[in-house]
Amino acid sequence: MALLSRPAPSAPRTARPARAAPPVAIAGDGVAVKLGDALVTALPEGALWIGSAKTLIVSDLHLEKGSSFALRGQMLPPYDTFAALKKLEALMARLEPDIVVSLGDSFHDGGGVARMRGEDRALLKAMIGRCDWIWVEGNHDGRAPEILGGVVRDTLHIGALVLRHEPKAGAAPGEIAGHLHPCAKVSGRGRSVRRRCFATDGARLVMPAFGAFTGGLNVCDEAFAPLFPEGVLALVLGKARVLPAPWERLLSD
Amino acid sequence: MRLAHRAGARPRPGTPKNEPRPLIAGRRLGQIEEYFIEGLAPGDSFLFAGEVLRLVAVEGKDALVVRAQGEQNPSVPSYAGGKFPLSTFLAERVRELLHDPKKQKALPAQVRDWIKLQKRRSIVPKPDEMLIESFPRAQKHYLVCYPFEGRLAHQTLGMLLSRRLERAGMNPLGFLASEYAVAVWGLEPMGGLDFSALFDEDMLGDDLESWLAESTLMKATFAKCAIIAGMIERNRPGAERKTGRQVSFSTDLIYDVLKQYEPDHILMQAAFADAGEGYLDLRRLGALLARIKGRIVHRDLDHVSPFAAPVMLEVGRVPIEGAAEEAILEDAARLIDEAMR
Repeated sequence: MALLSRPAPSAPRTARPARAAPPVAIAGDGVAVKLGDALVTALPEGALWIGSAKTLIVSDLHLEKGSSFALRGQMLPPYDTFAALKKLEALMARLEPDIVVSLGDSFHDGGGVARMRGEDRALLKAMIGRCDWIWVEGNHDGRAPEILGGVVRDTLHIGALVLRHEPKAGAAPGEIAGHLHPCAKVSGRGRSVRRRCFATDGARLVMPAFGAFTGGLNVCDEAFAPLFPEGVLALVLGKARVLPAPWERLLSD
Repeated sequence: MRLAHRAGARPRPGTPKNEPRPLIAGRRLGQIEEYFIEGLAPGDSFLFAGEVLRLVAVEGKDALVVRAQGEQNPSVPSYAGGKFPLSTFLAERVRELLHDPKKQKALPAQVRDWIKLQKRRSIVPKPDEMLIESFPRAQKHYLVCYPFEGRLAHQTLGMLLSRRLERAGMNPLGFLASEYAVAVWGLEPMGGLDFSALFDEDMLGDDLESWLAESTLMKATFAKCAIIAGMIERNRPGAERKTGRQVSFSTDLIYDVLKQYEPDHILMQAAFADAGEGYLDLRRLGALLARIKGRIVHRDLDHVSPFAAPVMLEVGRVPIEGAAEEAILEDAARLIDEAMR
């Protein structure tokens, strides 16, 4: 199929020097990325898999976000926790990880653990019991999740990779972080498609939010610019696959 | 949904008496487009429902008028195109009018030329036929048909057609229904399809409910119900965007969660009830499908036809979230693949 001509962008974006794409390769329904020397695989569910360490990473679960809003009088259907846990459980059954890392904002607020429904709590405890579970602390949830099992850490090192919740300012080679909930708006054929994505430049990576009610921030937004000074590659979550999206096709919101 | 499209169509009462007493509420004469009334000054006259009326005052959503006899040059109201509901009788007469040049003498020259041009570029169908045109435009492939059954029936037809086209792997991207036409567009050329099969009456049994449940129309209806119920706030323009913690939530996410875990939630029931009234006219669609059976004429064109041009400019496109979206992502991904070789 011939390459389509470049459509005009719908909104102005910060000009960036064009850059060769970071090394990525299609790996089944995911995309494998080299961060420095380490190989990680972005999965279509929005999780990251480190095959060499049999580690599964998910970020920004925001469990009990529905109930958190309910406390403030904003009623939302209270199934977000269940939906996120079921999705994670299916991933764990498929990949059988030795280690699972929840990369921060696991609960929407500090009281989230206490508000969980009995069935959800039992489900989560069962999942935690199956492997080594690490809560990488975020700015929301503090040490509360430890009651359920697993360990809380500020940062986690896996080989040369550094896992933390909020991306560090300045250069951070080998960093895997969350917090920003990246989304990409990809244009083509006179139409655009907005989806969650991984954002990476081959040195560091920001993960999409895994939780059910989480919104997203466009990778073209200024919040991402200081992290990826030479441009960013968006690995977009399609329905069944992860698809890399070139910078020229990305639109701001 | 209709109000959002037809911003301005609101009830306007009038007074039947000649006295210029606008504060006396009188009989409601009908509805008129707001933008038309806004273009008139008090004292201007216009034609409406067979009478000449003079505008006295505008109060909120009401235009107060009196009957004016013997006015010279009253204004003629126009309606934003394509929103004047067609009855089946009127539709039939329009089809006859389009086909027979002898009946077109009273039409303005431009309209006669437009019909002549259509005859040259494509065809003007006979009154009992239905025309389908297919053509490429702006990196997409269009299929436009002219049933003349009204926006509601066409909306239903558009939904069902897009479902069938999705199943046939045609990657539909969206559709649009006007009072006299339905246009569907997608990534694949559709001129070679079997149209008698595509428009077969068995379409009505085609699992319309589940397709509707997945559609963006349904999500938009649910969003309105959620706002009315106070479940979410309407987005305020200019609200400050937070970069760190993403606190907002979209009704699409809520809809998906409810559809999966609590499909009989009261807001879901409300949304489906609204959709049933607002989007579907199965009876009229059934009558249409029976009428056109065996009477479809198709023209495959290399660019847009005169009859299709107004449809291209209509508002109210309904996007389809189907395989075509994935195809757009895959197409973009291919650029990287090629760049890396």
